[in-house]
Amino acid sequence: MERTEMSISGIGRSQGGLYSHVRLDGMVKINGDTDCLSFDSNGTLTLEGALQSEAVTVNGTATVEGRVNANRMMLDGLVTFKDQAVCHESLTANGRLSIAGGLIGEKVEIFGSLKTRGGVQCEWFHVHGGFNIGGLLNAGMIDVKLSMPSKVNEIGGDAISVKRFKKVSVLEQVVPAFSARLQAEVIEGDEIDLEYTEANIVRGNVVRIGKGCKIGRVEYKDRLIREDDATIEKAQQI
Amino acid sequence: MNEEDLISKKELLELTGISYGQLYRWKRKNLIPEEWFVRKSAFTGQETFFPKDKILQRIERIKNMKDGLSLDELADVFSPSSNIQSMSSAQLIERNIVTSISLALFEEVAGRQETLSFDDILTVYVLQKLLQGGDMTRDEGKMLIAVMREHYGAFASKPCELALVRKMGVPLLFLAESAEQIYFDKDAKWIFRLPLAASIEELKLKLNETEA
Repeated sequence: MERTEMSISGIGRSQGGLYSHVRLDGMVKINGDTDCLSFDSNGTLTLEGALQSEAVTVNGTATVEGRVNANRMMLDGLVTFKDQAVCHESLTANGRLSIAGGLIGEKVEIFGSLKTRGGVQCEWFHVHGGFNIGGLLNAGMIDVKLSMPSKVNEIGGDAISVKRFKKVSVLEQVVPAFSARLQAEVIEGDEIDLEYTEANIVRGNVVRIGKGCKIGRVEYKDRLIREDDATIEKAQQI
Repeated sequence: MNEEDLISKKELLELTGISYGQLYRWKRKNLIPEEWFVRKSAFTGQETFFPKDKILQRIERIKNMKDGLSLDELADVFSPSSNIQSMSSAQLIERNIVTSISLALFEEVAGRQETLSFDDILTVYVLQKLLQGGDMTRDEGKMLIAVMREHYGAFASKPCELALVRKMGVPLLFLAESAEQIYFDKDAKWIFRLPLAASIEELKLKLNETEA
C-alpha cells in the first residue's frame, strides 16, 4: 500500500492508516492505528489507536490510547500515552509526560516531569525536574536534578546520581511535602551518588550519601562517603 | 518451585563476582529473562531472587562469551528466535554445522530442499546430535524429523523439550512444553529428554561463528 500525506489544520477528524508525513495543526482526533514516517502535532491531539513513526514531534496536548513506537520523539507540552512507549533512539520531553504502560528507550531526557505506573528502561536517563515511576528504573547512566518531589520503587544501573536542581524554595520550608526529594525503596548500582534521597536500601560499589539523605541501610563494596547531615541507620561493607 | 532452588540477588553477586551494574545491564539487553526475577518479601523489605541453577549457568555462559561477542549478539544467542532465517543445505555442510549423513536422512523424509529454515536446521542439528550420541536409531530419527516438522511450529519459540520413551522395543517420541510431570508404567523406559533451548543456543553460536 502506498503512503500518502495527511495534513489537517483547524478542527478535524481522520482515520488511522498508513501515511508518509502527518502534520496536524489545531484540534484533531484520529480514530485508528497510525503508521507514518514522521508525525507532527501542534495543538490538541487525540489518537485512538497505536502510533508507529520514525520521528514524533508534539507541541501542545496529546493523548495516544495505544502503543507508541518511534525512533525519535520530541514532546513539548502535556503528553499522555495510555499504553507502553518504545523509543529506539532518543526521547526528549519538555513539560509533563505520562506513560501508563512503561517506557523502553535508549536516550531519555526529561525537562519537567515523567510519570509512569510501569518501569523505565534505557541506557541514558537524564531528568531535570521530577518523576514518579511505579516500577523499576533500569538505566546505564542515571542523572537526576530534582526540583520537585519524586518517587520510584526501585533503581538499578551503572552510575546513579541524584542531586537537587535549585535552592530550597520558601514554599517547601513551610510545607515539607513540596520539597524536592526522591523517595525510593531500593537503589542498586556500581557508582551511586545521592542527595536529598530517602531509601530503605542502597547497595553499590562506591556509594556517596550526601546532604539531606535518609537511608535505612547501606551495603557497599569498596567505599562509602558520607556527609555530615546524612542519616544512615545501618552501614555495612560486604 | 521450592525454596532451595532460589538464590538471592546478593548471594548471586557474591558467588559470581559480577556487579549490580552488570546485572542490570544484562537485564536491559534481555540476556536474563524478566521471569527469572522473582520478587519475595524478606525481613529487609522486598528482595529479588533467581532460579539458582538457571541463573548461575546463564551468567557463567555470558561471562565466557562476552569477550568474543557484543551484548546484542549475545542476546540473540539466548533468545529462542533467530535472526538467521535460513541457510542453503550446501552451506550447512560446507560450514560443518551438520553432516551430510544426517542431512541425507532429513531429505529422505522431508524431500530435497535447497534452503533450510531455522527450524529445519535445528531439526537436523538435533537429529545429528542424538544419532551421534547413540541414543536413537535411524528409524527413530525419521520419527523425530516428522514430529519436529509437524509440531515444532506450534510452540512459537516457546521453550520445549523432546523426549523418547521405549516400551518393549517400541519407541514413542514426543515434544512437550515440559516433560517434567509425565509418568509411565514400569516397563516403559526413558531414553532421553532433551530441552531444545540448549540446542538452539549451541546452534546459534555455530551459525554466528562461521558467519564472522
